[in-house]
Amino acid sequence: MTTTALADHQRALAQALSDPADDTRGPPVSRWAVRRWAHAQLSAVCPLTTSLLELRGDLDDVVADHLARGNRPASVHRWGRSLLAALSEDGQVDRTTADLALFELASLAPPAEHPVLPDPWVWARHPVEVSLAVLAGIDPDVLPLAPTPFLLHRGADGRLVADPT
Amino acid sequence: MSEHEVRDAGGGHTPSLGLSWEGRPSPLLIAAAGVVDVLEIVPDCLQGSDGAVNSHLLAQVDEVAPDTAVTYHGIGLSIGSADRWNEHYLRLLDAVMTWRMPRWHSEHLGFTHVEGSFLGTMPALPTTPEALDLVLTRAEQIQDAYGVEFMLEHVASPLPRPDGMPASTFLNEVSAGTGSRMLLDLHNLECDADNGFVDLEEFMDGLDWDRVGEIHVAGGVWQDGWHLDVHSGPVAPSTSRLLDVALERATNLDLVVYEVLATSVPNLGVPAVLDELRTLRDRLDRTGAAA
Repeated sequence: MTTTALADHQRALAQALSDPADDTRGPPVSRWAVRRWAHAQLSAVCPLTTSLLELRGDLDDVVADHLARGNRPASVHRWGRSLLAALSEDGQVDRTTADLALFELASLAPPAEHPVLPDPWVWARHPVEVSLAVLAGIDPDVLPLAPTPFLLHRGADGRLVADPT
Repeated sequence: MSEHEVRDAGGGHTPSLGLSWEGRPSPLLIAAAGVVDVLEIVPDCLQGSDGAVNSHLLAQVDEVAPDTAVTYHGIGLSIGSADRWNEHYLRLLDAVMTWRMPRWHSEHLGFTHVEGSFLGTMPALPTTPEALDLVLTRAEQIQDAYGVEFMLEHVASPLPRPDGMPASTFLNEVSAGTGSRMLLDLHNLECDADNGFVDLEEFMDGLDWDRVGEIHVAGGVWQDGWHLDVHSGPVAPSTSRLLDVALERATNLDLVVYEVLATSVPNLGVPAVLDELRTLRDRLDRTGAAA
């Protein structure tokens, strides 16, 4: 560990930025700015899932939780993927949000980072219909169920495929 | 000490006009390509989902602005981190340098990483002798690696910082030590003055103006009594007045850039950004004519 005055100063600032209780002059407004940046950046790289969270009024809390996890990579794409993975895995959100997060992650991640999909992964509505509804500001849970559910899986060419059951 | 020398532009010329470019939105690039002389590209913002520079974004610049000069302006190097800088930024810089050589490139006198963790913001580097030594050593490495002028910009931040030398002295020392000119961000300067970190008059009097090679202007926001540098709006009249003073003093100035966030363009509107650029162009032309 580096122990110069500069290193000590930087560690102290990092601590102040991560401590919501630190109300000294400067850190609170900086934490506000970090949250606003995070909100904008995650919305840019995870547009589907963040749109649904925004629609339901949950985005600010989710962003704050994700920031609090720490270990944030500098790459916003990588950070966005870690948000989607967390939402799809940790059971903190409803089934629609978790499925949408995994769908977005499966669509955006580079091949080497493709997530493992549930098998079978059954969708009561076509995922494209769900996505369009979200982007149009409609909560997909109000959409009518499809006559037959869809099985979502990755095809031989690497693309996601939704087959009627 | 670097072998680079401060370039003497001779004074009396009209600086070029530039616009920051974060890879989107496309309509802004299309509209601005015929208006600006320089695109100031932010390599960090061109990253694709694989972490590398998205070549499609470079191809778009080639298609829309094939003859427009470029500069590169990084936000992710973290040159001031006590332990190590962010090596990944240099890989992005490698990629864009291979694509097109810039007039010069630039970064910030701040840090975004502490012991490997990304802060999500960029605190200002303290203006201490220790920080100065660190920056000069690293800037020399970068200048040797890329062979083009490397300007450094003072950062505005509401976070506390240890006492050090006056900000103008620190910038003068950095420029003298690297041999590259400095990038002066007038909105950053205003924010730091409004937030009590800089004495504006002392700064303006203390700065070695013939070392200023580039100027940034932008619009920001006020939050909880703090003036924040967000690049989200038009240039305020107070910033324009500072620019007028700077244009009179900075005899080696080559470029003035209007910085605007990609995410702010939809709210501002492309026509409003173009209006800002035209206003700046008029200001620069008047200065050139008067010199």
